[in-house]
Order: sequence, then C-alpha cells, then structure tokens
Amino acid sequence: MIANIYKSCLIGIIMKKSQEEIKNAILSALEFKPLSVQQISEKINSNWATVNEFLEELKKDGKVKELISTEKIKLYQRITEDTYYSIPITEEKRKEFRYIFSLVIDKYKQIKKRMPNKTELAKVVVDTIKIAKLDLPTAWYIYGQIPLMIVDPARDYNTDFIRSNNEEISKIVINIIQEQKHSSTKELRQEHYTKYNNLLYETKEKLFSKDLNWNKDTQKVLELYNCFLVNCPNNPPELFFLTEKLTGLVYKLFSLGRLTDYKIDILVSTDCLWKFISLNLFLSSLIEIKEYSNKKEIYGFYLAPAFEVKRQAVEESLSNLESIYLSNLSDKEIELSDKATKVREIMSDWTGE
Amino acid sequence: MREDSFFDTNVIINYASFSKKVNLKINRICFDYIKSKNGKYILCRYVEDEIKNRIKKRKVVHQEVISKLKDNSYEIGNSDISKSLSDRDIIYAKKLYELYKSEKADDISFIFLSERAEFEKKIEFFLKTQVDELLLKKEEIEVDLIHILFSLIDEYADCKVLASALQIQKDRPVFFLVTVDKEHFYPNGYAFIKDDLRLKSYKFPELRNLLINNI
Repeated sequence: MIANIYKSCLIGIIMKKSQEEIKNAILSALEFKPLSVQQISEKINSNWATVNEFLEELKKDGKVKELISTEKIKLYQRITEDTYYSIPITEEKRKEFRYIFSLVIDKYKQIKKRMPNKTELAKVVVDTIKIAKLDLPTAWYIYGQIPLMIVDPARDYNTDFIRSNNEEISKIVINIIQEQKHSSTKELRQEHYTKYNNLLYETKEKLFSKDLNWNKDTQKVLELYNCFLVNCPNNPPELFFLTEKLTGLVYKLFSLGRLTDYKIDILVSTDCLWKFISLNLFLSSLIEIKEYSNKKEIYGFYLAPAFEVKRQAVEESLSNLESIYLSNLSDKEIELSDKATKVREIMSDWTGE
Repeated sequence: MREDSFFDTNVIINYASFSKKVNLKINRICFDYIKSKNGKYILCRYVEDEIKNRIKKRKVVHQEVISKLKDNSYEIGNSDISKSLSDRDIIYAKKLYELYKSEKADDISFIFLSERAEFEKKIEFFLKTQVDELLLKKEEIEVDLIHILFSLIDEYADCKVLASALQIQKDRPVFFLVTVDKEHFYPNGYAFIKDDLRLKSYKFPELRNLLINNI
C-alpha cells in the first residue's frame, strides 16, 4: 500500500517535471520570434496535440499570447514584460543586461551617493554598451538611445553573472558616471543628444523647452520648426509629409498673427508627431542589429499596433490644427521676401502636370 | 450677365503662382480672372484632388533641393519621396539647387517654407471662400464617358476633368470651362470632341481658354 502511494507520487513528480520541461522548451522556442503550433512542435520534437495543450496552459499563466488567430493558423508570442514592445531577447542577453544594470546602480550609489533615476540609468548603460562594444541591443526612441531591456532603478537586478572583463567594464562605468555633469534630466538628455550628434533630437528638446518664449521669440519658434523639418528623415515618406504639414501650419498661423494663440494645439500636434517619428526611429535603429534585421517581422509581430495608434493620433491632431488654421484664414497677404521671390520666379511656370 | 465658371486644375495653380514682383503673364491672367468673380465658381472633386496632389509635389521638389544641400553626393530624384516627380519637376529642383548650392540647407528650407505658405494660402482661401459648388466624387465619374473621351484625348487627367464637366453641365445653364490647356481644350480640339457622334447627347460647357480669351 505504502509502496503504491510512493510509486504514484514518484510518477506524479516525474510527470510534473516533464510537463515543466515541455513548457520551458516551448518558451525557449519562442525566444526569438512568434511561431505556430506546428513550428513549435517541430522545434521541440513533441507532437502537435501536446504542444497545443501546453500552449493553452501557458496562455492561462500569462506567459504566451496568441498573436494571430485564424482558422488556418495560430501564431503564439512569448510575453516578455521586460523589453520594449515585448521584442524578444535571449536569456543570455537578459543576464548581461541585468549584470550591467546592477553594476551601474552600484557604482552610481558609490559615486553620487544616491540612486540613479530611469534616464540616468538608461544613458549610462547605453554609453557603456557603446564604449565597451558590448553585443547588447540598443535603439533610438522618444528620449534618445535606450537599452532594449527596460531599465527600472527600483528593481533588483542582482545576478551571479559576471563578465570576464568585469574590471574593465567597471572602469568604463565609473568614468561615464563621473563625466555626467547635468543638474536635471532635461540637461542629461541634451548632453546625450549632443554626444551622439543628433540634431533632430536636440531640436525636439528645444521645441518642448519651457525656456522657449513663444510670445517674444516667434522667429526662434519658426526657425526651430524649420530645423526640425530639415533634420527629419524622409523615409518612410509619410514622416516628411506629416512633418511638413505641421511646419507649414505653424508658418501659416504665424502669418495670420495667431501663432501664440494656438501654442498648446501646436505643441500637442508636435508631441503626437514626435511619438510617431521616434517609433519609426526605434524600428530603423533596431533593424540595423543583426538579430532584428527582418524589418517585416519586427514590424508585423511587435510594432504594427503601436504604429497604427500613433499614426492615428498624429493625423487627428494635425487635422484639428488644420481646422483651426482654416477657421482663421483671411485674405491677409503673405509678403514674399526677395529670396522667396527668386524661388517664385523659377517656380512661376511650374504646374506639376 | 452672370457667368458661371468650371475650373481646370492649371488655372488654380497659375492663380496661386501669381506674385506682383514676378508678374508672369499667364499667372496674372488666371489671378485676374479669379479675382474678378462674376458668377458661381464650380469645382469637381477630381480637380480638388489634383490641386492637392500638385501642392504635395511642390513640397517634394523643394525637399529634393534640401536633401542635395544636406548631402552633396545625393542625386536629385533618387529618393522614395521623389517617385511622384516627373522629369519636368526634377528640372525645377535642379534649377533651384543651382541657385542656392552655396547656401545652408536650413536657410533655404526657411525660404521655401515661406514661398509655399504664400502659394498654398491662396489656394486654401480660394477653396474656402470662392468656390460655390464642389461637385461629383471621383467614383461618380462615368467610366463609359471617360472611355469615349480617351479615344479622342490622349491625356487621362483631361478626360476626367471634361467627363466631370459634362456630367455637371447636364441639368444647368451653360457655364464656362475655364482652362489654360494648350492641347485638348483649345478651340479646334474642343470642337473636334464636341462633334463626336457618341457625345451628341451631352450638353457641352462653353470653352474659355484664358490663353486665348484674355480678360
């Protein structure tokens, strides 16, 4: 009797372990990209029905989700809460990120006698990755470059993993922290944009700056929007057309003497546009990394819904700004400067046919 | 006597291109015609869309110059945004580049911005305050009519403009088809189209080609 109970417990333990093994194998298979049930079963040498059953359990546990579900095919994606847009990273890279995060937090506390904030941590990590030429993914996003794994100073990143060149990395981290002279997060961002010679980000920062006086420095506002347009990428073309539309509306509102009256609406549109542009920059910088070079997959599996939401937001806000402009439109003439007249001279018989 | 006008695209583009300081004759003629309004102004949706496309193209012509000023190794007409440009458009971009090639991209972009703003504002004001009737969606243009016209006019865009004009003309007093076209909407060419037996049931607008009938 006791022997039988012992036997069934033992079977239970073996069975459970094997179930866990299958689940872990499924999660590992999904480490790189979303897969169908068939693709997973081929990868882990398990039959379709078993994989399907365990996927259902993993779904209930919140570890995977159905990305595409049609009658013919179901694609499953591993839920990765610690990376931007759940873009997958390998366990090995995750360990390395944790190691760097932990090292930076440690050194920051030693040198600055306080915890770094999110931006400080992200920027030191990015600089370290660049200087030490570490094989860890970073990308440009809303506030400059970020590690693909989300930084959170409040989290415990302690890890047993230590790089063989730990001493060298530590020195790099210390140098970067000591070089940081900012007195605010805004200043740190500006330092970062200048360091990486990114005029578009520098201009964006100035446009949103509280120091920009829209009442007194109207010319400066116009120049900044123009600079933003000049430095905005043309690819995909919609980035140019959206940015040009905003810049044109800003100029036309200025010509009607209504620029400052609609500062808030303009800044809302600029913010929506920036979120859309920076998502494009996120994608374009990510696909330069070998593991993420398949643009179609990265876009389709992870970024398409975000693109849609942000595109809609910028289109709506620009449409609103255009309505404001049209409602203020009068027959007040815009005076062409001598240089603009030269342009008109050349374009005067242009019809665009 | 009231004279209603139905506009072809190029009239509006020429109107917006007018500047007292430049004073190109065809620009002035179109500008003066639109300013001396004497009747309803009618526009079809196809022409409205065409105007918007041309505005977009003009931005791209300017942007090509900026791209070249930013990077001298760039060849005008080689970007994704420039795919919509014709060879003629590219000539304009090259002319502008030649004029400003020693200047900074930021400065020239600002000049382009102000020039476009003046051009676009005139069109926007025209569409908002001058146009009395905006008619006929693109999908409402009769396909059979376009096919007949295409056998007489080898320009698809002109076929759509004339097809729209003929459909709108149907149940109303004769209006003017106002154009600056040098080919199909010229008196002889227009008479040839009107004479086609397949179009006998259509009432034709009266042609007012501003290249000939200067006001």
